[in-house]
Amino acid sequence: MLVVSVKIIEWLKERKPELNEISLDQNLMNTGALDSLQFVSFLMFIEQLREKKIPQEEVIPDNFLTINEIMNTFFNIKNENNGYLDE
Amino acid sequence: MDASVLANKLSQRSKELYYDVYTVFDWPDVLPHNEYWMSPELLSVYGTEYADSLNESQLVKLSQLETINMFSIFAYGESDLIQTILKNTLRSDLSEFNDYLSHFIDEENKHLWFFTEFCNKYDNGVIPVRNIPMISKFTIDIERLLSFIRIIVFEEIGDYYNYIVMNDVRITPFVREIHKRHHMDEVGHIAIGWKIAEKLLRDMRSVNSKEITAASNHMSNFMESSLQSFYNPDLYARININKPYDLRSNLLQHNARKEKHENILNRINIKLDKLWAGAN
Repeated sequence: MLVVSVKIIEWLKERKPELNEISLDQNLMNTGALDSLQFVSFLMFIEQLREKKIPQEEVIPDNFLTINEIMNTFFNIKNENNGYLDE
Repeated sequence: MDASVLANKLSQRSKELYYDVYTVFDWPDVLPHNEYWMSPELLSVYGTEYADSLNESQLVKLSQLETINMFSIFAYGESDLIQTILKNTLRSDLSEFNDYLSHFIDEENKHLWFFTEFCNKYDNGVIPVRNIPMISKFTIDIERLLSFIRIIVFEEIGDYYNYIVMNDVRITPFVREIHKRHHMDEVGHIAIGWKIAEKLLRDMRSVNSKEITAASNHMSNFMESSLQSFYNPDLYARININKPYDLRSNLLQHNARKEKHENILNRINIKLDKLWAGAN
């Protein structure tokens, strides 16, 4: 079992090892944790985690601003502690 | 060759080869569903055990879907490209290219039309590109330069595929014809694109080595991300692969695929290295 947020942070840090800390309410785009060239792969990673495609109309910047926003929008998780996924 | 001489020659060539996009192709009602539309060696699974696990009918279907995916990416790319050229075509520092840039826009608009028409006619339309705009971290001058280099690199990658498919007798003739038409126009766009990039870089008043390194890294990431867009899990699902996202991840980490990417990008990297060297 791994929390959704942990998996997302792992994915981001794997691609940007220079990032020390990524908080759940950090703006991923303004802080460079996520850049435009990584976005499509990141989107597919989120789809892989939720095992469901994200509808095109939901692919908007507001839904990907922070990890909390991503969990809320795509996993219906309001609280990080409830965000467990089956391994 | 001097940039303005090249631009004049290309303008003349465009006038001589001018075509009406609505009549230049004789569009078949349907394309053969038992034939490859893309060379097997260009498929995203090629060279891996995953290709070996697919039957012939799945491979043929994948070649058709990956053609639709590629033409969709091209259509979106043409749209971005036209917007970039339009923003620059009347700028005084590019005046020597103005006449040819008009042909450039005309030809890219034709490509946008025929790639879209192909996807509409032979599948369910253009596959949406799933990106979102983000603010550039570069200065205005460098971002302007990068917007041109991204265009050229995008066209170079496309032309790698064009050239192989148009010469491959195993491929449905109409698909080869589309690639050939695209290739004939792209040759000129690529040639002038590098000249424009050289000029923009040369004209920059203040650019330091740190900025050049950042721009060079950006282009490496852009090229990799462009190639990754050819690995589409929706297509893998359409040929009945159970875990399409896993397949995409596994392919992107596969040594055979990494080698293929190096092979595609080799020629482009040589040109990019030459360009960046000119900044020093």
